[in-house]
Amino acid sequence: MNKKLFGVVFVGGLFAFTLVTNVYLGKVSVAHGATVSERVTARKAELSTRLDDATKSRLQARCKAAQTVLKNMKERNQKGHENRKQRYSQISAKLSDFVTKLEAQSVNTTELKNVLSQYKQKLEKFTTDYGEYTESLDDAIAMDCAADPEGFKATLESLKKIRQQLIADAKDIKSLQPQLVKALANARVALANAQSQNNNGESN
Amino acid sequence: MEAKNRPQPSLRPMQDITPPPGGQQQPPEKPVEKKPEEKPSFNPGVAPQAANVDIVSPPADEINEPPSISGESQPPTSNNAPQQAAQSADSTKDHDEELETIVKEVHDEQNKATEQGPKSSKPILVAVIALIVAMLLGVAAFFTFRNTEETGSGGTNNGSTSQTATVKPEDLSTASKDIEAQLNQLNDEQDFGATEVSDEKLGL
Repeated sequence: MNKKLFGVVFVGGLFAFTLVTNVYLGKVSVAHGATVSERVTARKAELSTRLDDATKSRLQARCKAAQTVLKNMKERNQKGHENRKQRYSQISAKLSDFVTKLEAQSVNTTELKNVLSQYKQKLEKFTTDYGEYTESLDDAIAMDCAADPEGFKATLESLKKIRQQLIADAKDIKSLQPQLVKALANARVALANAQSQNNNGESN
Repeated sequence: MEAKNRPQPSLRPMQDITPPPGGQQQPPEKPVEKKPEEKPSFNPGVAPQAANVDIVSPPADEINEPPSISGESQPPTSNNAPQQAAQSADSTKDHDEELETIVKEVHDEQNKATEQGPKSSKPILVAVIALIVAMLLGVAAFFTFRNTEETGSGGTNNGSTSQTATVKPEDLSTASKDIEAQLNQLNDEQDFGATEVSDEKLGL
């Protein structure tokens, strides 16, 4: 009885830990369903066209090779994607740090905070879309494509669509670059003025 | 009286011992007062007529020793006395063996109860500890990934933040150039281009 209780408690705790980890890693998609089959079903519902028998047969014959290509692509791109996310994150952190320190030095940071807020919103969108992209890619690699060629086709279409969206998100972030440069330049001038005023005040 | 006609020793304490049937004349056994901290003594080799026989358990090291028939009993007074003495010794020996078995069983039960007693609370304690550890792991995962998301979307705590409390105008100029360079180095088409997931590339 005591051994059973211990086993139940341990398994329950492990399950809770795994669930929390997966939810916050984004591996469990609430929008499309918790399992691969549920997400594939949702994508099939979104797919506008239906496959004819010839297309299905061709997909069944070639989908395994396509999954290998996708897997290699994922491994090849992984480093570049991680590098991109890291750079976005560092820019956001650096700007936040500047805002905090400039405010501490009594420098007006309204413009810089406005640009930073926009940057964070666009970065959040990119992060969300990247999570969906990863999910679609993993589903396309892991699913039984021969058993469900329509589902595989729908997943591929979703993958192509989300990759296009990610390009748009990246360009959106890059479009803030002129505003960022201008805001930092204005902050630099304001900071220099504030410091010279302080120096004049001290000398007087 | 043959030993095989006797009833088998029971698991209950010595009160279940029944006197051997038959016309064995034995003097009444006088109970001996035990000392509080020493094991009850048992001397199987002494004839009942000659000494006070203990009716409690023998020491453990004497249990497995075959009872020896002491040759130092009283000399026979008649022709039948040696035969009677041998018979009484045999019956005493059987009786003693039975007592040894019962006493050994009682000791085993007592030891088992002693071992099990203190351990009854340990499995519950282990189960509680396992539950607490699992919950702590879940909470740690929750806060870890929440902090990761905040950092990704522009958290204030990051390894790239400056250690100094103030910021200089040169820092803002340098940061502006760095941000420009980092964003320009990112190749959106290479990371998320449509050609990598086209049907031609996948062989479909």
